[in-house]
Amino acid sequence: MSRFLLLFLLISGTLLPDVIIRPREPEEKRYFLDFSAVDSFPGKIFLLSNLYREYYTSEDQITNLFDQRYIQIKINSSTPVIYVFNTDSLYDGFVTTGDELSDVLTKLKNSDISYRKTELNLSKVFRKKYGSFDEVYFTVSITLVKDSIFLTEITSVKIYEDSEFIKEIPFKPEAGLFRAENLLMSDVAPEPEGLFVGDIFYFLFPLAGVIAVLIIFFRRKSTEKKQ
Amino acid sequence: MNIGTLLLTILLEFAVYLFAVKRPILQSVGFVIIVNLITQPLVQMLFYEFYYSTYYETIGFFPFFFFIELLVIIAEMFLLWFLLKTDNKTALKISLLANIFSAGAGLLIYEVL
Repeated sequence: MSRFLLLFLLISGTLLPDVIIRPREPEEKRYFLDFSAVDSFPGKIFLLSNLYREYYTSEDQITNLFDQRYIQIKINSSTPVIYVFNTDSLYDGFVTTGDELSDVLTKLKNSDISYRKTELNLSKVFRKKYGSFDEVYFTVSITLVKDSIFLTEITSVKIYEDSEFIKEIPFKPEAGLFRAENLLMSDVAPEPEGLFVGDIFYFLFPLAGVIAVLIIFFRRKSTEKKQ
Repeated sequence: MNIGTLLLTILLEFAVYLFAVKRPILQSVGFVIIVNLITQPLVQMLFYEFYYSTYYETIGFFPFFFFIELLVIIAEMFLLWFLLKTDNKTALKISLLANIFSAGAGLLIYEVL
């Protein structure tokens, strides 16, 4: 009977403590971005952009993929275009900045300058989607190679948060492809130093358990000897 | 470390030990605590170190969860075999029951909350 009473108490006990099961609110957040070239075709480069979110509770560090999208860059064409779209809906609702870029290119053509670097604002694409970053700029270098032929490449990524410039990260192409590069943005939220208080239990608890097993083992042995 | 999960697992598995382990209640409490003090932190560490990483997209939740549970069942079987001084079959039965119950109930509670 007492066992059933205990079972009842156990079941009620497990359903009550909402507080102990739910993870606590994140205390600190950190985002990091990585780009990798996934494929390259003549005149086109496909980049995979991953944004990871890392947050800390008082006990755990959790990293997860926050946002992933493909970036297609059409290069060596008369109208360089950058497309950014989601992995799950490749053509639905992709954002093109082609019109904006065309304006810039028209100006370039008319200016009669054969080489010019310009900055392309992709903030609309990334706004709200990139966590606390409200503006992410890709610095795009556009080179006029021949008449109406442009070469386009991303040279750096600029990160803004609340309209405040945070960091500029170089973005170097390597052997015709964009190099996969981890862009650790530690400026956004400093990584907490040292172990979390809760981490020590990963070692303390198993240690306590093993010690308990050993105590039982030696006690049994001594009892056997006495007998 | 998530102490809540540890406590919850101890409580849930104790419910199984109550009926499956033919020992005084206090001894069962001791055993369930010892067993889970050893296995739970290691399980949590595996989850946080590997699951909440880039493997998230490739492995998926359930295959990883079942793999970890399998390891736990085997580890707890050996611990119970020693603690209860019983045969392998009984130890495996208790370990299997306790872990199926705690994992199932844990998932259910997590879903409900």
